[in-house]
Amino acid sequence: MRCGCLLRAVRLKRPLGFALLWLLLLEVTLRLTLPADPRTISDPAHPYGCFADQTLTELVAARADGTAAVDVVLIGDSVLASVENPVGSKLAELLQPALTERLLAKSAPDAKATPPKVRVWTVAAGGAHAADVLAALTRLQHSLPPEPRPLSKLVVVASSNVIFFSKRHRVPAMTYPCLAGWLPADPALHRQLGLPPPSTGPWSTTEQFLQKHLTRHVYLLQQRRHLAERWLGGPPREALREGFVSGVRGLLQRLKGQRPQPSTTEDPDRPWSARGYTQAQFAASYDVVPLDSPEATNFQLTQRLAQQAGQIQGQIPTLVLVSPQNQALLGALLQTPSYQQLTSALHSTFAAHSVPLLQLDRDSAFLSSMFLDQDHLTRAGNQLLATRLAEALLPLLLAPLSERDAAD
Amino acid sequence: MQLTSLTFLAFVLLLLPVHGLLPSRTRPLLLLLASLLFYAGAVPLHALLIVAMALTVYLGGCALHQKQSRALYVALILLCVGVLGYFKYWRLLCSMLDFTATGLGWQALHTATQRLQIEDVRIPLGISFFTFEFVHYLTDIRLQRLTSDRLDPAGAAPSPGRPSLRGARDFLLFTLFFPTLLAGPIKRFQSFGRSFTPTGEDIAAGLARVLLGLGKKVLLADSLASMALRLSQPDQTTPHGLWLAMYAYAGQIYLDFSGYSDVAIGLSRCLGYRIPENFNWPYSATSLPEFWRRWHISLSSWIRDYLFIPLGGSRQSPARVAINLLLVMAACGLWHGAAGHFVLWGLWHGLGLGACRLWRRFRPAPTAPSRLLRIWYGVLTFHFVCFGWVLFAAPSLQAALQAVARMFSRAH
Repeated sequence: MRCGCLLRAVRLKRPLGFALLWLLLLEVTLRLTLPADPRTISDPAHPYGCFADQTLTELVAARADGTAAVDVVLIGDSVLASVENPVGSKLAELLQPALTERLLAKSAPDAKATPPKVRVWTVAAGGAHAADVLAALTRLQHSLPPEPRPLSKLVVVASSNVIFFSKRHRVPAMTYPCLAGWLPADPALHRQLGLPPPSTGPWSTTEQFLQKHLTRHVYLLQQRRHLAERWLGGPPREALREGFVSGVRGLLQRLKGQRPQPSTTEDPDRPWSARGYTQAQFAASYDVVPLDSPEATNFQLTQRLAQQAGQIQGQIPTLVLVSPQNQALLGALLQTPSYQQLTSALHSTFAAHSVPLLQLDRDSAFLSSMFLDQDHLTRAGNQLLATRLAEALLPLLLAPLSERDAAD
Repeated sequence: MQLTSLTFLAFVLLLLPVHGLLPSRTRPLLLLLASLLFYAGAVPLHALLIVAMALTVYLGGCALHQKQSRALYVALILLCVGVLGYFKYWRLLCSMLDFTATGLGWQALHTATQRLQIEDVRIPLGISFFTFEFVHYLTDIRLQRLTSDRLDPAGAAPSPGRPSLRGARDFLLFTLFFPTLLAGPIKRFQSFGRSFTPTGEDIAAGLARVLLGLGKKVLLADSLASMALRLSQPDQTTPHGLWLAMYAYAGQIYLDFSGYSDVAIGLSRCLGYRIPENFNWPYSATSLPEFWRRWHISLSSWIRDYLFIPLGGSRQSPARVAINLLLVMAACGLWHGAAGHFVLWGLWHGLGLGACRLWRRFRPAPTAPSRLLRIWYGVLTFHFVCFGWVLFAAPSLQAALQAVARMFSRAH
């Protein structure tokens, strides 16, 4: 009672002191109950995360602990992230044994040498365009600690999905603006991507300094992600939006006199033919922006990606994958002159920078039954993609660093 | 420096105690230095530009005060509007000329516009706001609304209206006052001059207002922003998604802008200045004219005082008033951004205001409308405004029209 009166008196007489007291109490509680959050410390500008940064943090930590391993990093869109597949059917989970098996087979003649452990990391998220992949590749390059061991034990698979060259998916040209800081600080490029101009000037430097140091030392700033994950299940804005959208949907269903539907119990691996898709739904995704047009932003960024991948090929071998497309569903759309021009342009772009390219968009081995829609794969499709990737990655993994340097 | 950044927090936390400790006569100087630092920290060259402009306007204002010269007034207004036009509208003007020249096959004009086109020009922060404040200052001197006592409310200058260091300081502070520099409200010199010594209650109330504004901006507006983003991709969104995005954008733009205004008003109060209110529950308006009396009040009152009334105001023929409303609102749209969809947004509101005026002329408003009728008017007004936001939020004129067409289509 007396304590309550005291608090009330402090609140009324010294409101600022009262607020500071609460903040101090919260800071102490956070320090006592939560561990430091390396994700926020490494990227204080995005306290709730940015483009699979958690996996990147784990990769950096795993490489720092010195275990002998081969790391394969998948950077790309929802096809590489396998967002439509349940656990156990994801590409990363299938690629790991496929690659281990091939490495074992290669090391069999020399019984003394045991192949290193293979780890596959998915730094991918739905809708990642060439700009996102380019920025994520640069972020990976800068996140890896300088180490005495050669970086040859890390290879990257960067994906390029042909749908992002279409007029439909032209905007936004960069789906994850939080990665913008990893792009070249070129105002024209930022304007082309619809991003604010790159921050310059003393205040920008001060902000970076404050973010870095305050996030490291003040738990009220550092623990935002932990708290959001515990209380909301994820970043607050996404959680709020999802809650709002599901609330509106529920309300609309109630207004229509329907009961809110429980989450679907249908087989998540059922192919596109069981989902009622038609070619017309996807036609706009293959209406390619003319490559010489100033609006062909994704192609221009793909050229930059090829250049970047070519430059780091000696340190971080990078394989570029053009994702498989559903031939049966898309049919004639993949035979149009503009589409054919795109695929040949992609081939010549990456060849010009000596970047290995695995072009699977017209690979007929990917049967129609292996697709969930126009490009997302079923478990069987992911299995075949893992096999194709493992075969393509093997030469990169086995080539000694000096050989590649000599090639450079 | 964004108002939601850590740098701004540190800046304010350092400034407030120093401001409180200084004697009241030196506080304006501290605030002026702080405002200069605030502005120069972003793009130092732009700070030079704004200071040069402010000093020119101040000296020109003094000259106008002493000698009512129409030519000088026009020259100063042209200078202010010209600088705004160069930074904000030059590219639009060149591209429009180029489009016309290409369409008509005038090669010489096409070549000339190509040569005149400027790339990568960075717009000085707050230029739209301080240009309007300059126009207000010069016009009020010209119309003798800013008399000697108002030019120097403290009566400390040796001769009010004549150039003095103190007058220049006050005018520079009026122009550069950092809480309102980025997003308004658009101040009036008459009321800005009356500063006071903030009490503990003022500081507590001001900080509470700042917190309210930050909450609106960070928690609500930024959360709605991701939903509203779909308006910029109409061809990738279902009609239902576009409707949802429209409502989300209506919420986002109000919360974002009123949040910034709250921060500016609260912070100004902590520093001993009263800044005009900018929003008064605009979505509760039951007519479009009422909406504009509640939305971005400092801008709508500026447009009324410095554009609409000089064009003749309401005392003209109905047709002339309607044309004036269209012109004024198109200019309002253009002020928001140099693109066709902003002009279309302005014209949409101009049409709405004109239609309201004509409607009321033929059918006067009931003296005491029923509650149900008021709700109906409110819903109509809100949706009229929301459709305007679709035009405002789209990245281009084509995307805006596509979004509106898709909202009423049956496509999925």
